[in-house]
Amino acid sequence: MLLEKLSNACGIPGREDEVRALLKETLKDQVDEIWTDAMGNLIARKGNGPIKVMLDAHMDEVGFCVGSISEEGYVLLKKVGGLDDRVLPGRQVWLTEKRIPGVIGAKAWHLTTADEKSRAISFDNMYVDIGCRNRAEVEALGIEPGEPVYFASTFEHYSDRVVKGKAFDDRVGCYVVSRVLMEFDHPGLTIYGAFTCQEEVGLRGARVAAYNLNPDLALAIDGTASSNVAGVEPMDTVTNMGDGPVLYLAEGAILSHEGIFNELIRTAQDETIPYQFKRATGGGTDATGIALQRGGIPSCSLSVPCRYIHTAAALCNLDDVDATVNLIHQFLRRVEKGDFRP
Amino acid sequence: MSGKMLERLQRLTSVWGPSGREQKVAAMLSEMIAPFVQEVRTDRYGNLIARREGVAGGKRVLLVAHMDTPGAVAINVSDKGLIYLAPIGGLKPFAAIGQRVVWGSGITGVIQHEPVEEAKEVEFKRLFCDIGATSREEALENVSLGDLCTFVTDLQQLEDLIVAPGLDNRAGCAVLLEVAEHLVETDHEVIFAFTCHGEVGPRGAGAAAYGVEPDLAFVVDTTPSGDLPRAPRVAVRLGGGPALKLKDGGYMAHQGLSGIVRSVAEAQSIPLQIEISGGQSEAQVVSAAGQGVPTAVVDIPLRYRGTAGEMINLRDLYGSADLLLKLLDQSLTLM
Repeated sequence: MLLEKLSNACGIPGREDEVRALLKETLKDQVDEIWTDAMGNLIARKGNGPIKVMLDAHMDEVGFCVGSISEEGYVLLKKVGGLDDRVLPGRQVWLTEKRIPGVIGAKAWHLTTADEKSRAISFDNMYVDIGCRNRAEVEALGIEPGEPVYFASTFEHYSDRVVKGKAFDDRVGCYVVSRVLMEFDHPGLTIYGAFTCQEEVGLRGARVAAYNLNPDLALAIDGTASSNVAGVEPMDTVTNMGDGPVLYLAEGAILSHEGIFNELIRTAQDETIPYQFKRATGGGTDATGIALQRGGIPSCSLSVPCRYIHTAAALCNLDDVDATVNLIHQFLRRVEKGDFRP
Repeated sequence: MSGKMLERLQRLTSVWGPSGREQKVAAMLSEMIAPFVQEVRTDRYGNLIARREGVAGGKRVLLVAHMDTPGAVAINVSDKGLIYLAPIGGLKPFAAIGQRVVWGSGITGVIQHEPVEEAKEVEFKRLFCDIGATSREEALENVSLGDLCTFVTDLQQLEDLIVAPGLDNRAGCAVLLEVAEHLVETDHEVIFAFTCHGEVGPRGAGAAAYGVEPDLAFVVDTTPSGDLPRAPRVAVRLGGGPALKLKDGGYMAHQGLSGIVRSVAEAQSIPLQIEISGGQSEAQVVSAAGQGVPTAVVDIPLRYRGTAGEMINLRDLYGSADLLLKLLDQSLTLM
């Protein structure tokens, strides 16, 4: 399954090569044209119609890179993207694309003091132990400053419809956009699947892609935080995994284009596709970067709700994925028929 | 001093338009500026662009004022029908408590906070809007999740002082209209941009400047005055005239253009204050649009920003308009 391959692929911001190669191989015979731009974004064009639509999903994932190597052979990390220190100690990681196994060392419970137990370990005190005895042994493995480090987490089914993996933010978006390109034809449109780089460090790739493509409208498809979990009041869940694709009432950095936002809702209602609102503001997606290109590009975020994003084990519900694919397809049909123009 | 500034402020502060929902403001401004320009259009971002033709040899000058106000968005409704909120733009919880608001549908309500023991417990996520509904279903019949509200408008005049919500930046819009009306002879092509998303980002002004490709730009906005207890230590006071911004959190003034502003103010005996402030302004995105736009900021001093009782001095508005008109009489040639 493509989502499984995408989740298992590795790509911190700036090192999206594995993901890009996988997507290119998957899509090259299914689209009319496919290329990589100067920034590293993979663009897949399908159709040659008069209306240009950009479907954006970012390829990169949060992770780490090697900061330095100690004399004793420990690897010290730098974060790449937003990560919570509290979810890191004891976590297994892969170093470099060769996936050399390591663990973010955590003191055994027996050895921690009462005071230490009540506090999160600071990131400055974390290190990766890969079983080497000195710096030379580490370097002999090809591990050097700047090399990427990933959560060691492999895709699996927790139930028939709920899957677990790393990097669902935003490989689930890459999967959704790929499926829209592969499963549907919209001859009235020029659809650009834009698989962008460096989203997690400032929406960088999407800005360049949108500037170059200059679409009439854009949807940014992402995996977003969901918190319908134990101990959270129903009003505070932000989004609910299993309740369908997510529309943003307001992002931290930008507001959705009102026309696209309303049309997505009408489409969902008419086609009886479930949808929900993200009941919080804050955060931002590639739509933020896209909307501000050139003289402004009508843009809207549409997300798949995922639990535990930016950790080693995110969950998502395949029903939400299917509904997102269907909602985009139905929306594109309306744009194609001229029922909706931004 | 004509009475038009006050009349325009009354109209402009009465129209509903938080960030992202500026259409009604744009429609009103379109009607108000139409007699003074040759072309009015809305760009792809939603900015209202009005163009006054120039003559050969003139420059293309962009005047920018954002037309949105802060507000709040409905993000949750309780079983009892109380609407929970998130801020749009710089709305602070203390400024919202006890205020009456109006939703896009025209429904009104009052904002309150869950009971707390101490003031430091006040936070935005515990604010709610009561529209008189008794159940979640009833509330959602009147207000949908994603709908926006802003303060109910109410303008008061105290001599030269005007008190109303939304003066940031409807006051700037009024100044642009004053300039448009009194601009008689100028070689320059003058483009008035009333922009979206000024309170969130700011955003719209960058798209406007990209589309217009001006030779230079003036941003007209409001700035917090420093003449209050424990105010930021800025040397700007109400009634002291327009303020020329030299720096903020995202902008350094263009040396050449701000030099022209200072010399024109001096030559014309227009009082000018010098402002160095924090935060961000539309100048940040305007000056960096396209290949770059030399940009100056003329700010109107304002007290109590982001509250239902923002206060300005009419003389500062006339001073700002006068300064811009005198500037547009110049060749505006940058060294």
